[in-house]
Amino acid sequence: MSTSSSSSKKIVLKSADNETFEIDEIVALESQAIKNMIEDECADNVIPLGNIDSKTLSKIIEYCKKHAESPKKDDNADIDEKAVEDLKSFDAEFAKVDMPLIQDILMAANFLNIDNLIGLMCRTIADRIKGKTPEEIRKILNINKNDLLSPEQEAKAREENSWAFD
Amino acid sequence: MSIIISIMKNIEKSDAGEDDSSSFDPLPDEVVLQIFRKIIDFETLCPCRLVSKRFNRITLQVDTVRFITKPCTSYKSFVSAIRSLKKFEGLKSLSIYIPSTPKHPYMCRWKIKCGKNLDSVIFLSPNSVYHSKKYVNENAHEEEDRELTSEKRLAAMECLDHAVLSHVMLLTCIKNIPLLEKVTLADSGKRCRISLNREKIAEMRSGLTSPYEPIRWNRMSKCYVPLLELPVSGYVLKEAAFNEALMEIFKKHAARFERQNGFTSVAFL
Repeated sequence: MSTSSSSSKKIVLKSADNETFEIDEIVALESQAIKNMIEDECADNVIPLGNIDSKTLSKIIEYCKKHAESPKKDDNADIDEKAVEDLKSFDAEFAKVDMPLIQDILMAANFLNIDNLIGLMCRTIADRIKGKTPEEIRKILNINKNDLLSPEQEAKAREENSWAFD
Repeated sequence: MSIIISIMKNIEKSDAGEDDSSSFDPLPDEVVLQIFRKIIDFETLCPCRLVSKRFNRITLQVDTVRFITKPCTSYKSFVSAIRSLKKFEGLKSLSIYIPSTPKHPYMCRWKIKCGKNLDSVIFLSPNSVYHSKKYVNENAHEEEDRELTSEKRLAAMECLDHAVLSHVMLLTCIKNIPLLEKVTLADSGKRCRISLNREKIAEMRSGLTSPYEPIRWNRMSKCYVPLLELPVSGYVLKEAAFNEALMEIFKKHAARFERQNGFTSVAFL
C-alpha cells in the first residue's frame, strides 16, 4: 500500500463504550497492531477495541496524531532541533495525568503495540516510584495486597538490600 | 475480521476478573520489566523488590544497573552491594559511580592499564590548563615550587590508592556476575573513567584462576614537562607531572613536539 494513496484514507476506531473515532489512516499506523491488521487486510472500516475505553482511546489518538505529523528520525538525518524539542515537550505534557489513566494508556499501548508510547508511560511510572518506599509504591500503583512477600521472603530481600541502607 | 474478534475475546476474558479500579495486575510481565529497566539506579530498584512477590521476581530480571558506592569507598560495603547484585541473574551491564572528595585541589586525571593484574597507572596533573597555546606566556617560567611538588606526590599516591581499589572492584564484579558484558567505573570528580567491554571482561575472567600479582611499587617513576600540547584538543598543560607510562606516549610523539617551540626541554624530577 503506497503512502500517497493512503494519506487521505480514514479509519474508524470504536471504544469499549461504543464511542467511535474517525482518524486518518496515517495516524492509525502509529499502532503496529493496527498496521498489521490493515496490511493483512483483515480490518474493516471500523476497528472495534473492546478493551479500551473512550477516555483512554482519545488520549492515545492525541498522542498518535502528534507523533504521526512529526518528522521521523529515519526519514531525514538532519531534522530540525525545534521539532525534536517540540515533541519532547509534548510528551512531557502528555504524561502529566493521574496514575490510573497512565496504567490504562500503558495497557492499551501495549495491546496496540505503540512502542514510543509504551516507553513514555514506563518512564513516567519509573520516575514516579523513584525514591519511594515499598509501601508508597504499593499505594501509587494500587498493587494487589494478596501478593505480598512472606515475612521470611521479606527478611531475606531486606538483608540482600541492606548495603543500600547501611 | 475473525482474527481480530478472537484477540478481543481473549483480552476481555483476562480482564473479566478485574475490579473497576486500575491495577497493575493485568499488565504483562514484560511491560512491568520495561518499567524496571528505566529505573537503572540500584538504590531505587531495591525497594521495588519488597513491593510484592511479582515485583520481586520481575525486578531481578533487570539486566542493566547503575549504582553509586558509599562516599568513602569502603570495599566492604561494595562487596555487600555485589552480593545483592548477584541476585540479578541476568545482569549484563553495570555502571559504578564513586563519589569522591579529593583531598588535593589539583586537577588530575588517571587511568589504568590492566588485565587480571594491574599493569600500569597513568597519572597526569598539570599546574594550569590553557585552551590554546596562544594564551601561554612561555617565557614566564614558573619557579619550581618544592612544596607544590611534594603535594603533587601525595595527590599521585591518593590516585594510586583509588586505582588499586578500582581494579579490585572490577575484578570482584567480573568474578561474581557471570553474564557481565559491560562494566564502567567513574568517579564524580571526573578524575577517572574505566570502561571494560565484552572481550576485555572475557580476557580478565579467564585469568582469574591464576594467582594475583601485586604491583611492584619500586617501578614507580615520574617525570615533568614544562609544556605539553595535547595533539587532538589543542589544549596546553603547563608544568605537567606524570609517570612513566605517559612518558612513553610522550616519547612516541617527541619528534613531532620538537618541531614546535617550547617542547625541546624535558626535565625529569
